[in-house]
Amino acid sequence: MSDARRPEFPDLRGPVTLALLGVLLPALMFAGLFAGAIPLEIETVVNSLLGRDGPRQDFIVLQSRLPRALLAALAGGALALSGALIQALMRNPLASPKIVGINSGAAFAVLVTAFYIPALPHSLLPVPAALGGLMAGALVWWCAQRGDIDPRQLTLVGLAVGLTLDAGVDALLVANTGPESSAPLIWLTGSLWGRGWTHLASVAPVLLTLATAALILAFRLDLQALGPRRAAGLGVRVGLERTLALLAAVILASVAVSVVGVLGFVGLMAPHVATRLVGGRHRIMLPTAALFGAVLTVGADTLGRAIRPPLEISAGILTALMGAAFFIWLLIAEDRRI
Amino acid sequence: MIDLENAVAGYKSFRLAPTTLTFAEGRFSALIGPNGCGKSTLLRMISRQLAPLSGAVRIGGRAAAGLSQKDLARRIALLPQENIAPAGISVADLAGYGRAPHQSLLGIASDTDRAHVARALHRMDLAHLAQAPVASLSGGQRQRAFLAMLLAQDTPAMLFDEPTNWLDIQHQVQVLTLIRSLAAEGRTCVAVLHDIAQAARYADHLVVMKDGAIVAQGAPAEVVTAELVAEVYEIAVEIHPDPVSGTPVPYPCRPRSGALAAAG
Repeated sequence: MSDARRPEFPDLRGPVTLALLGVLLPALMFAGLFAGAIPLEIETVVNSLLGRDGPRQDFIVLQSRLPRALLAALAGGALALSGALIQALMRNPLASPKIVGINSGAAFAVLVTAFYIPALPHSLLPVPAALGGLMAGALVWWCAQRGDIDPRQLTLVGLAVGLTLDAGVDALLVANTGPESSAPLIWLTGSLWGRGWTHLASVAPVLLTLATAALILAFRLDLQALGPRRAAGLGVRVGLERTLALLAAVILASVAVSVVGVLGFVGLMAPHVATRLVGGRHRIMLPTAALFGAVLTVGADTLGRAIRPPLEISAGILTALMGAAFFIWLLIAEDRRI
Repeated sequence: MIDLENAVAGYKSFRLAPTTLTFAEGRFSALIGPNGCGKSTLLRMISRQLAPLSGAVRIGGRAAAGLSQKDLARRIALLPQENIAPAGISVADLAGYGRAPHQSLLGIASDTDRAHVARALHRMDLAHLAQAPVASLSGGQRQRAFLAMLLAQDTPAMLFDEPTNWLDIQHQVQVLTLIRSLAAEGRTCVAVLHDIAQAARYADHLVVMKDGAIVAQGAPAEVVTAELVAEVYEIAVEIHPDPVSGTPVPYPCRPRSGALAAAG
């Protein structure tokens, strides 16, 4: 209450934060080129980027670490955007693609495809992932659909559907134990291990298109976040716009999951932090959340390779740890506010 | 002007009686009646949040059912009871959302939009809090911030569901006076009010509801009688004129000593 008169500079908070994140992200991605099983000198990395070095370093920098960094940024940004959309639509700061069951749906579908249709090329995995995510989303929607959709109800149903699908994932893993089953396991923990240009090419068009659409129509999310009745009162065709935004959220998250696995907490954390940094107007909050999600994911992937090379710690494990710390901090911070 | 013609508002489990009613422009009409009599349901039907089960609702002479959502939002605005704001938006942001029906999908504010928002904030006594986060406001300030959003929407018809909730007496009077001046600008204003004396004092026209039906309407001096209050609220009152405005005020009768004991 006491800070109602606190002078604020809303015009600067956004641009400054965006600029800082905009510098941090490429810096982290550049740092990521050095980390990994084979340590590289600055000179080698720069030469590779400029296309002037031997084939071995070229391969590591250009074929492995660079696409990996780009993919981490893209997937992290997509998960963050998905989380921001879902939180605005459900008016629930604890909602996220993971919590409403989308990640699990995508993971389940990817595993089914990988185990039972092994002939399908990996670059097509985003398709079953999106279908799985959509199916989980539709199931949640259908279960919660009794007249007006109550956001709390939707979150609870989402949890139930997600847990069921997680059980399905476990069952699939148990049923398919064999020499090949460690790769899906690594992927499930949220790892960018073994990802390259083909993966990037298979997901970038969809993710970039949806992200652009979300950023352009960010203002409509502001209205949605007021709740369905108020939004309708302001001329929003709530049913249509909510469905479109939810579709975008589902596809963003499940396509990201198809390449980086279940990267927990990014979709939950990034929009939270972005709202705290730049406020709740989606026109500024969405790009901030996307950049922050990218920074988190690139950071986690880089850190995971740098801690104990040649061992790799999955980015998902690190984001989960950060998520746990974040929640405790949030609890303390909220406590202090009151 | 808002016309209802045999309009039936309601849900599967609860429906109001067919209502034929006109809320004239330039007039402040108050809906009164006991809790659960259907005031809010009627308001929700008028604002098209609830489709009429039968009959018609016309806003400014045009059937509400035929308007696009955006057209509707340019003609009628509703201040609902609950006022929960999303996290991290300022008072000016919130008031600015009221301009959405006048903007494209991108929501880019024009000079006209900014002028409307500034005037709405000024009118609601919130100009000094324009950049404050809505979440940091007191209940009354928040209610006024949502009222500023409604003012910015600048519609010819405005509905208010218990607009004086959460407000202290100063701001209650401010809001009721505001609705009077909005009506004086030629708008159609309809408010659900709980306080009969306030409704009689500030509104031009009272509509009294009980059990989902309209039981009386007209000028406050004609409508507010001891008989009507007894019938609608099931309480014995005496009516005395307000010493300031001369409008009728119901005063509950002194209970006979046996009545309380019997009730208790």
